[in-house]
Amino acid sequence: MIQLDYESHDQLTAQEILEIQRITSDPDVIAYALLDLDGRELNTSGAWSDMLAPIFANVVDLTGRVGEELGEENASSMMFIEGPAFDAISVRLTSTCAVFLKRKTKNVREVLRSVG
Amino acid sequence: MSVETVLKKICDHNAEVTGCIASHGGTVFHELPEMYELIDANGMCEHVENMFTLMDGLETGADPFDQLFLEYQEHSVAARRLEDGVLVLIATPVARADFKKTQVGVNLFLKPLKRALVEPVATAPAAPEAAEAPAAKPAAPVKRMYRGVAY
Repeated sequence: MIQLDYESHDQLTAQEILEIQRITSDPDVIAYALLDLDGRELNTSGAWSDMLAPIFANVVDLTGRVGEELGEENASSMMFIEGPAFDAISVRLTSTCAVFLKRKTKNVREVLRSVG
Repeated sequence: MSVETVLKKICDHNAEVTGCIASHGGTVFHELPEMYELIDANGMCEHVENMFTLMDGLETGADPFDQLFLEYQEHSVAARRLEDGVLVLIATPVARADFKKTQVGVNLFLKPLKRALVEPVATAPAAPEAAEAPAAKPAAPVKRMYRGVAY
């Protein structure tokens, strides 16, 4: 289960902390990262925790560029990147950006079925 | 069916989709209305391709990430990773859950799109120089002269 480091969460509101707790308590959520709006890593936990924040710092920057092309004044509020086995979800909060990596249960079932 | 025709069909058959861009091997095709005339289609494809490439860096061991959805205030952007490029859809602002139905509508055109993309000779737009140049006259038969007499 994902462990939250509350000391690095002083940029979050109480409601945001509750929401992040709720999301990370899902056993299929296997990784979590919190970035500030400049892409700096505030906290990371779970699978590929070394890679998650740096990769998403760049991905979030690219979503900003896509938004600029479209004439959007604000950055993307939510981003979903899907694969056959995992979903990566980024949510823009008040002064931070939370990233979650979620395992697709269906895929795990398929893997188990192929093994069994 | 040309790539542009498939892209137009995607826009025509899906009310939320207002513009389409597809890239294949560095060539970019698009179906964009006038309001998007300032959009850099090449840049859009490049940004989306880079996002997928960055996600490959996670090295999850599973098949790579191949779909993307971005929610903005005025637009939504959905993208699919293709074999040698991407399909980028610009849509009205909808939540990702509501876009799932549209996604089914888009999926219907993926096969024709992939087919059209791998037939570049038939679908590639003519080069601007070639389009503006006057039609070449048929080559005149070569006349060779020997002491003023053609042979």
